[in-house]
Amino acid sequence: MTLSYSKFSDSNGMIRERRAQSAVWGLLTILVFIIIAAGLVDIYRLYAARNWAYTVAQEAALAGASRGRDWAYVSATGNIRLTSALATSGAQQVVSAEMNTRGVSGYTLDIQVLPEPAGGTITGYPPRPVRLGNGRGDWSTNEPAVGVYLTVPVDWLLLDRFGIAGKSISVFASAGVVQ
Amino acid sequence: MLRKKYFIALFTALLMAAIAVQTVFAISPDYLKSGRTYDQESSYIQWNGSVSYVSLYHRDNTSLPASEGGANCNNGCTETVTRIRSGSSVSGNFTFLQTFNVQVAYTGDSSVGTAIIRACGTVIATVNLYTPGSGAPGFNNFPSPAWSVPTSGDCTWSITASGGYVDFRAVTTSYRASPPPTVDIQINNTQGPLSQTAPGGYTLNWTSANASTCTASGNWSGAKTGSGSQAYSNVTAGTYTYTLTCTNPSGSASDSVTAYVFSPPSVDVKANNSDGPLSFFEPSAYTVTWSSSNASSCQAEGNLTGSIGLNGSQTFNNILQGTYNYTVRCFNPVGAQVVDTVQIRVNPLPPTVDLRVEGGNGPITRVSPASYTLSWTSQYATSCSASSSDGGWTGSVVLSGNRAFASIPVGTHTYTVTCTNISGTASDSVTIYVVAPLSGTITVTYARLLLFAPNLGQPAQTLSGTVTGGEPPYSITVHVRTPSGVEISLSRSGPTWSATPQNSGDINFGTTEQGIWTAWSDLTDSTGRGYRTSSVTWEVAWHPVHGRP
Repeated sequence: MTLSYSKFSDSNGMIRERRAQSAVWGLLTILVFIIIAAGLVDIYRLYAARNWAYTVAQEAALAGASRGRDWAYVSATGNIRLTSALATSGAQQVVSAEMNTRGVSGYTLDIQVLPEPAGGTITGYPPRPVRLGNGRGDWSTNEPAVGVYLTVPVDWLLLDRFGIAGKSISVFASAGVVQ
Repeated sequence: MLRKKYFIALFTALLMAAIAVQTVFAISPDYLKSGRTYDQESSYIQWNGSVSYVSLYHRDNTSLPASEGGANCNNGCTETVTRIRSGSSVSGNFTFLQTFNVQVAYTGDSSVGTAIIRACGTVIATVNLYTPGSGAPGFNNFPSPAWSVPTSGDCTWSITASGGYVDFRAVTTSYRASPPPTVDIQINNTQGPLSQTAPGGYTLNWTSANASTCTASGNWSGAKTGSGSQAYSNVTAGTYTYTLTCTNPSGSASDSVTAYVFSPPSVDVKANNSDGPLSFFEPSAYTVTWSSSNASSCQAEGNLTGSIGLNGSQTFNNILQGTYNYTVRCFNPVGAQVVDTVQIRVNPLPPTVDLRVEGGNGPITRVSPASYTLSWTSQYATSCSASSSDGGWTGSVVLSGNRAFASIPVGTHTYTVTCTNISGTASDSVTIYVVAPLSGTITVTYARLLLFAPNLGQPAQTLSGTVTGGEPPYSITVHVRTPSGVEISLSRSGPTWSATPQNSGDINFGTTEQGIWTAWSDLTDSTGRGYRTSSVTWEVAWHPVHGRP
């Protein structure tokens, strides 16, 4: 799935005279501005998409951690832990609901759970560095936690006219349970 | 006239037959006396075979006896004589005779036979009695002169009819000349009287001289020999006279002895109508009675003193401890004695004992290690001993005293003092319950719980505890303090208790606040002893979710 954005269309004119030249320069200037404006719009779109994706990932992580709490284990041991299946399912449901609302397709989702009361470490997760959330590497927590790594494709408004390939953004968010 | 003679003859015949039959069955041959056979037939002459009386008319030199008129028979007499049929005989015994002969009749009846006369084992005469042509029968003595008896002792004699009948009228005897007899009878070689106690036993001895016959009379009977002895045994009580009479033709003599056989005496001594032995507690009172029979005198012995009669009683009062024998000895006239005794034992009163603990009869309860004092008193006891269920106090103890106990461990301790004397045993016991100090526990089921856990399908808190020691029943107050400092109390009882969501009235018991909860219990036993348990805590948490950077 790709993001759907409306595209701008442009047109070119012929200048034969000075007036004509001025008109050309004027058109070129307008074109430059249009290009600049389109670029700015694409950059904004990229920024907005990343914030949205991060919000979705964080909501999914919180939902997974909340719904995955193993209460019986608390009663038995006095400590909280997560039920991996419930936590994963809870996170997936949030992501799916948000993607369906936005009509986004083609996204990828990698949910990891550290269920034990003392948390733990998952090596190589998340797979790519992200600006929000922990960076690439070994994800570690000292409490039960859910990690959501979400990759969402972004469609350009103008940049793809200049041969800039399609862009996707990746975000990582996690949530834990206080002992 | 003829008819009258016929009836007389018939009557006479029937009478003769009856007498003959009676004589045959009643004859008891004895020593022969002189006289007609008809007069002494039944006692001294034995008939053998066909013998009978016949009324016979005879004419001879005999005479009728005075009872029949005493007429001389020279002109004929009719009298009853003995007819011995052929082959039959008459016989008998005699003694002390000087001479002996018999009268048999000659006759012209050809049916008459020969009389064979025997005496002392000898045929002393054989007489053919047939005299052809003679008239009426006539009796003569055979042998004649009379046969001299060669001995003064016993002999037998007989007349046997041979070849015909023989009419036998009388015997004629003459006794030897002799002084009157003498007789002496003794009992146990004394002239008596003899006195004995039944069952009696003695021997009669007798001797005689010049006696032809001796006859016993009195308490014995029958013919006796001239001398002899006779023993008696198991003779019952009574007076017995033994007389022996000996006779000869010159007279008779008698002698007697007497035996007094007395019943044995008896005496029965009783105390309070009992043969005893009896036992009484001092001071005692009782009555001794005695009764005797067949006794002539009684005397007191033992603890019975003084002159006493054959029957009587004595009363005794305020008799103290001891053994008393009351004896009565009684005698019968011959000195036989009998003794009876009743024994009475007078004992002291049975003992009593009173055992107390801390001045009371108990039971009491003490907390270990316990200390207490036992004290006891007894009466009438001669010895006392102690025992205890824990074996800590045994053996002899003084009749009254006290004993202190210390550091007694937990348990039921029963102490017994037993006192005795000759009259019995008495015991008393006290029991001391030594209990452990009051103590208890409180435990928490969940060290950590979720806030309002039941709403998440998880359990709320449950507290439980135990109570030991002290004296049941127990009352428990459970204190629960919330994290915010609010304290609630729950009442419980029994050696084990619990506080659950169900019985505490709060389904969220112990989970309604986050933080540290604290609980403890105050225990009280039936005597008011108290104990506070240590406290327990548990944590209630919510476990919130947070986003991680």
